[in-house]
Amino acid sequence: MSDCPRSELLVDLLEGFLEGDELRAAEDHLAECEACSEARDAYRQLWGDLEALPTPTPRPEARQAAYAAVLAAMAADAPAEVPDPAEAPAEGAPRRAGGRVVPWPLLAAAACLLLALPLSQFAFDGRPADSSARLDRADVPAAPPADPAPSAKQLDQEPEEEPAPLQRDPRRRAAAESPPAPPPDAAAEAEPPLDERTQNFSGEADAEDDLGAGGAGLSAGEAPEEEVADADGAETKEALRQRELRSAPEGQSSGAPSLAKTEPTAWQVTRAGDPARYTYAWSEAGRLEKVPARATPNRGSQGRRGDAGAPAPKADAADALRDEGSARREVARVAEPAKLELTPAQPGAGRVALEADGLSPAEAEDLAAILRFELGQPQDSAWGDRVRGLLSLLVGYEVREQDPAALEREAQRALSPELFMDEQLERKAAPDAPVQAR
Amino acid sequence: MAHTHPSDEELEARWKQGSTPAFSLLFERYYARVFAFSYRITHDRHAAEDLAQRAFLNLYKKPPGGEGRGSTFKSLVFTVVRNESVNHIKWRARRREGAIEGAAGTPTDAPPPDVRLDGKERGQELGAALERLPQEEREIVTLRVIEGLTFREVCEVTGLSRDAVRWRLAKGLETLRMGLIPQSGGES
Repeated sequence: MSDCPRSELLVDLLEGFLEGDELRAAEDHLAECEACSEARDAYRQLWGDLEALPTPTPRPEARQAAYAAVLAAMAADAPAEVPDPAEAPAEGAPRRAGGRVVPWPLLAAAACLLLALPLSQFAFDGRPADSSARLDRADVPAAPPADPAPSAKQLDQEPEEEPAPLQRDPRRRAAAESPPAPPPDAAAEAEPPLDERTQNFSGEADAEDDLGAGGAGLSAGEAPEEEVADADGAETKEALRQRELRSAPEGQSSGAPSLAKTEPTAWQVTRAGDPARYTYAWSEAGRLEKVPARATPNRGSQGRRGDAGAPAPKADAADALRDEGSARREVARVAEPAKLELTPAQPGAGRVALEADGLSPAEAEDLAAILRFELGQPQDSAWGDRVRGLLSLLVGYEVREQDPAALEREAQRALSPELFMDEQLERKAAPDAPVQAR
Repeated sequence: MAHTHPSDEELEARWKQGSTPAFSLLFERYYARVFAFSYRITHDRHAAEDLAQRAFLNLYKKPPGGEGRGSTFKSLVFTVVRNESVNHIKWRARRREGAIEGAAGTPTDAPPPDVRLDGKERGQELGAALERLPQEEREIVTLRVIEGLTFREVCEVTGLSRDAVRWRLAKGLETLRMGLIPQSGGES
């Protein structure tokens, strides 16, 4: 057997690496040695069997979330929207040092569009009625271009429309407009024209992208820890991520919501330069209510719109205000207490709330802060309900995970997309950095 | 008009110029693949999903530069997710250090149920044998055989020399072959 070629040579044979004398010698040996000949055949069969192994596939929601995250990154890099003079920045509105928009709300906004989940598609349990339908090409709106091939010209022509996901009240918009195609599972052979699937979201991305400065992420060519000089970067980032999740209620920097726990399950939300304006409170029925700060949260089980004292504006006025910017919309919403509510235990309740209003970016930040807080709390019997409810609101579908560890992991994932963490890192690096218009 | 699709490299070039649609197409082509690769490395569905997403975000935020990069986009994206996955494994091992002796056999390392249930018997056994391979051999077998990267691309992704890849591929295949012999009825 000492003359038998080693397994590397059999691989070389399969790979076609052998030439000349080496090839002839190997073939001669295989012709004479039954064991090696069988080994070669076994390798061939093994190769084919490996190719035929079932391929694990990501969950559709994870795929869509990833796609949305990429789009949010692109949107954050896109040139700023043309400012509307009538729409002055307001306290509490999302701001971004370095000219970027709050990533988390953007992520939520982009996710809403790209989930292709017009809320009418939700089943009453808060899940899409037919998730596969969302990936169906037939659901994609008709594309303007006639040429199905993504020509170079098409590639050059980025959609000129204003990026829809960046608009306020993204869920409302998503419900009103036909959604863009989420990343289809179909292979590249079925690829439609490029602008067909991007007409509703894309913006020009900066060619000279400087996102991620500060070592928040691994660059494309970075090697694992031991292979890079600054290998501690990822570790530090992970540690920071964990610390962020545990200590978020304290020391929020300017612009981020800070929480004051007024009752075991009630938090008064404050933003820098803005007095406490409202309180989020969990009702005994497991409903998260948003009420004006001065009003007493409805601790009963039937807290409904208008219960908490402040008169609700006319519906048409609220609708008008909703479209005039997040700041004024916030005013309108504060005047409508208990409008934001979720009852995860009651199918459909959360969906109705989301369909009615959607989450504003500020609300998304608030809920993210509360969720972070909850993740640091003892996991008592109600902990899962609270976390599931918050997480469901944030991700836009009903989270049903029961296992506390898995639920916590889901929540941490939702709270720690790269963009969100980058923002936190930037704030830590330059907490007083002036907000720059872009 | 011929219906042609842009190559990865064409899309990458457009993407470097700031094309969102080009990046979108690259995402569609590779997200599921890099997830599957990461899953086979980490044995953790949630982690693999997260790592695949992170890889694409990093590719966007820090586009690969350098005229002499000399690698395909395919090898680039697999490189990123491989590095992320390896770092994740090390991070996870450190977390478990002292608490759990070894990573093999822990719940998160269990092979995916769908893989076990959907395959035929030999496929199931082969999948299990693949799971048991040392990480570096599993990486190379997965990249070269399952994902179909070229030998050169495997070298680029793993950062190993040609001989190192050749040796580990052979060792991995031989281990798999020997592990399957009893199920094939061979008694040698």
